Amino acid sequence: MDKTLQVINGLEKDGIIGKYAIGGAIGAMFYSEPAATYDLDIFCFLPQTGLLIDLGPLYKALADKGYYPNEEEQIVIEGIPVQFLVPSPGLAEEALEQAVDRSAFGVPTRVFTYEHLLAIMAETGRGKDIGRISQCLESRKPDEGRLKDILTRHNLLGKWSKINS
Amino acid sequence: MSTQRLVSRQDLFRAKEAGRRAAAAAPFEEKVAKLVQLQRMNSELAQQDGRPAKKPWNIQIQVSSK
Repeated sequence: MDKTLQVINGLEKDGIIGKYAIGGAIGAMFYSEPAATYDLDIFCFLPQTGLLIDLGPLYKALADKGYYPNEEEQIVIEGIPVQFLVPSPGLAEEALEQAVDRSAFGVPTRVFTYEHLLAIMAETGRGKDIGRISQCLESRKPDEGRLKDILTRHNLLGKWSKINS
Repeated sequence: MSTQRLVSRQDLFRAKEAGRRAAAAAPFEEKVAKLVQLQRMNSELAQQDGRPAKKPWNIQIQVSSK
């Protein structure tokens, strides 16, 4: 995984992607027990033309290094399928802006805060997200004040209460 | 010598919770090693059942023992 993160750090350093952070199940794994997943979700800012996001420069830069998209539009970088995602305005964008510095396998990286990850799971609200929320909460308590603040500002308090009732 | 070991359900749940907290507190590198084990197990079970299986991550992991 160190090599994968080094490649992603290189993309950021070269300006191919803007600020990035790890989200999704791997992001949650920085805080809670591991759960089965197969892809590494990288949220990043990308050059944008109007409403359209141009993935061309990113795909070209990776292809130049020998990494290509698979059938699920993930790019396998050093053995790990990586999904590059542009954060939607609101919660995910805030999560990326407030992501925290971490180190994995000796490589510096950034990860969404635990409370942002939980809020995103509630917002997305798929079956696997709801299951993952309870798994996370059983293995680690979030900062209640911080979580409540995020949920309130993004109108997710009701959804959160319903999921955890 | 008796082989009975009586525990309550609450004791079992408490032990399970403690195990989950310990798993959460483990270094990230150890968690990735466990994740790859999970992926391999999932893949083997899927193959045995004839279900489509996702490929486990093809990475080398060195977890330092402290």
